[in-house]
Amino acid sequence: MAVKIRLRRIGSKGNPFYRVVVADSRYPRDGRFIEEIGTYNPMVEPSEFKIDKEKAQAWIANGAQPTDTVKTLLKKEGIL
Amino acid sequence: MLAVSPEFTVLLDVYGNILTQKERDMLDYYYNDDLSLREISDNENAERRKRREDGGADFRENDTITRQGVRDTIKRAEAKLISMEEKLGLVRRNREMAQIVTEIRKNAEKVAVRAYQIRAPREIITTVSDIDTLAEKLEDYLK
Repeated sequence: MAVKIRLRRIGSKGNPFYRVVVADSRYPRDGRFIEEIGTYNPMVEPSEFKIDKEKAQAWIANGAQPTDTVKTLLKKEGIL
Repeated sequence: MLAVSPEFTVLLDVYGNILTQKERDMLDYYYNDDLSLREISDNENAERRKRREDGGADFRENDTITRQGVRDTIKRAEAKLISMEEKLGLVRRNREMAQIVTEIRKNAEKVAVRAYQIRAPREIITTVSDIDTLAEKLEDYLK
């Protein structure tokens, strides 16, 4: 069972806002997730990425796979 | 990959209805759920397999989509969205209008503060407060 770290959109029409969630890759769509470890707001300048650094690192150390998008954001924060 | 920019996400919100159901779903998975092309094709194939097993009317042997097929669908849908925005420019217009409304509210607030300071007639204060309320309503429309 692969565990992924991915963005999941919340936020209203025309106003995207994302949660960073740890979720089982087999159930990407049913809204279930294991833990929320941050948020991402792309609509402000500069975009705002908040992440619980320790949790992110712990999940990755335990084999959780960040998506390419999350990877990019983590690299920007110097976490990866 | 969700380009870490909200551009297509917003275009999808505004023009999503001109896309086919399939295109809309795939962009939704890609941009709103951050699924990879591989995950989208896997999910789609699982769904088709299930439909076949249920003996749906659209029974077709080996009816599967590749990762590349998903990519092509997404690219085509994105091109449709961009072409719509070039023709109609609703996203750009909304953004510009939102900026103007923000300015209006800032100015209304300035007037309100000043009006209090100089003990302006009640009518001025209620009017400027009405302007702000109207601008706030407009702001909700533009969101």
